[in-house]
Amino acid sequence: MLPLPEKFDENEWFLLLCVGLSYLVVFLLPRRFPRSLSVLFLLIGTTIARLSDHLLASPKLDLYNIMDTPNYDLFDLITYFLYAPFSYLFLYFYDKWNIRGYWILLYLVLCTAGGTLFEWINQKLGVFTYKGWQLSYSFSVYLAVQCLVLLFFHWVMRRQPIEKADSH
Amino acid sequence: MKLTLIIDAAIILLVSYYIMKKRLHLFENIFILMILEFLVTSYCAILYINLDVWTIANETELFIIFRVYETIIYPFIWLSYFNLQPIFKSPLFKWIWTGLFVGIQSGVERWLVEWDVITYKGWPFWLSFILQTFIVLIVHLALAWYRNLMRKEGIRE
Repeated sequence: MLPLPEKFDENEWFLLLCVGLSYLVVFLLPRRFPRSLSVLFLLIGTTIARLSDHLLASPKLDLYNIMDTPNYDLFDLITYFLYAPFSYLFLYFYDKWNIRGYWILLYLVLCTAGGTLFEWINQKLGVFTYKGWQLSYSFSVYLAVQCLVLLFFHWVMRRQPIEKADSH
Repeated sequence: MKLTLIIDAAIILLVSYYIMKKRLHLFENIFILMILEFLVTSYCAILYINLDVWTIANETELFIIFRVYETIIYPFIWLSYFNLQPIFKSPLFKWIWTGLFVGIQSGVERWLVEWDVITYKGWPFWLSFILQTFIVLIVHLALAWYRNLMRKEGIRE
């Protein structure tokens, strides 16, 4: 059902390393949000990534491949685990540094540039294979998605009834 | 015409969900929606890309119908089910309610087959029933875990 990679090489190792490191960072950082909210902040990244990949990279549009094959394979699934800590850390530091006003714009642009750079590394290592997609499109997509994630964050935080677990 | 109908159905479903009295906490609703979006896009991809037991129509109108189904109609039918289920106190009625929604989901899928949006290639229809039952079971388990987390944090009674 979920095929294994054709060849276990650099893209698989890179992905596993990134997943391991990013979750390590998430677990080592002092807790900032209640766990039920952290789950939502982790899931939002995964869900948006899954939806956009499904809409953009599946047959008919098929603008890029993820990992070795055009199929939905096991390591495609693992890439979605990588988006979760990224969305969490994006919101974690946004909240920790109490970013307000025009600094939000700078934060968004820097994170978008960081995300695009990370995608470029992924592309070089064969995690993504473009078939009509361009890196510049990713910049716009990340910018839009990060705005949505911030809106989601404020919307959820306005509705959370309890105090933050830790305010380091 | 088909596309208009499905978009109208999606809008009516969204509005109904919005005005419905929610029995679940807002965070539970968001959690379920995200889990469902992930599950439905994954299982559809496995069925029509990996296993090739479904074919999705190439015609643009029908293809958009399938996308609307996957991303709006399917998850919001289940969300409505989860929000209405607490009305029933008796386990028997809860089971009947679940069976009814498994039937509704399979019926909508069957409707898409009739419209040639989905073409089965050796996929028996009864497997769709089992798949829907399996999905609702997974979401119930995930929700139970998340609800427990919320209880521990005092967000939910």
